[in-house]
Amino acid sequence: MLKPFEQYVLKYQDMVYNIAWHVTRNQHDAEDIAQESFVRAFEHFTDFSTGEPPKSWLCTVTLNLCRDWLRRQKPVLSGEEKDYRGGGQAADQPEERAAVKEALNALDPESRLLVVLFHLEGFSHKEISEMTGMPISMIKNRLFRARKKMKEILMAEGLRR
Amino acid sequence: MNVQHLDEELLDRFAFGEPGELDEVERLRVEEHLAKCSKCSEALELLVRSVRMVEYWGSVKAPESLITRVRMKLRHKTVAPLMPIVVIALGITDVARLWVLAWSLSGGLSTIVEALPRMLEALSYGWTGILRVVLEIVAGSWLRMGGISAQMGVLLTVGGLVLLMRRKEWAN
Ligand SMILES: [Zn+2]
Repeated sequence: MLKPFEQYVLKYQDMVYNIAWHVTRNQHDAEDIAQESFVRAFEHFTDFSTGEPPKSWLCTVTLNLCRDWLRRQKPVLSGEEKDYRGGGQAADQPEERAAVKEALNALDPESRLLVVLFHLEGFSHKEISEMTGMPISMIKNRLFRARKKMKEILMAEGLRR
Repeated sequence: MNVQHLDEELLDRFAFGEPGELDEVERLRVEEHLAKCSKCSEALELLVRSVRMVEYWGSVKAPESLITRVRMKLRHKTVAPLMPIVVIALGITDVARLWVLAWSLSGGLSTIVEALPRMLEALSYGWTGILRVVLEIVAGSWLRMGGISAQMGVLLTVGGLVLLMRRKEWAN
């Protein structure tokens, strides 16, 4: 792999994988999506005046691949979620991580994705709207409901302690 | 006394809205209320704490295997267009082997076209036949192209090889 592209992968691999993993919630599929995202970035690496594909462009590619993945899944996924495990993390997880996982697990995939983009990856409402095609008002509303739900779960899990 | 508390959505916008989300009047009203209402302050604090927890613990890091997988895939992708050439060079059929060998060593499409019928004929005689034709082509073109020392070198090499092959045939 060429050096600048390798640096590009290193710079964004956590973001891409994080997004993919929160949608698929399994390492294998998340890696597949992340790998394909970077292959596409490689194919367009010199197309941008910025010298490399911008973060939001890469993120959009990942989101589209996630959407394709969701479409291929059995309908059971959007309702009762499968277990929220794995994800390249060590097994010795503190209570907080387990509680956060449970809170994120309680969200539908779209809302979880919005939480990841806004709170974990730091994209603005406007950027998310451009990447997902979702109106800003809907993004704000879903984020509000997602935060409310996560707060309730984390409180029940002992956030008060 | 009946106090009107801040609703959840307003608190949420106050905490996580982007700049300009609340106008100045709204923002002041929220701040004033929070300053004197412990119930709403606590609700806000819990909301912020829960989101900070998600932000802190929610991310997963890419496994080390990812970059290796990307590297492998890209290596494969960049090598892929060269594959037909590689395959021919390695030789799927004898004709392909002969073609590539003759082309790379003798120089020129015309030589190959000329030699093709003989190559095909040579196939029926097995490997020794094929090699002989190749050596002929190679030698012929080197002799045409090279100086006297090159010609001598080619002659000696080819002669030696032909003798070796003959010996093998005689042994059989
Ligand atoms: Zn209040």
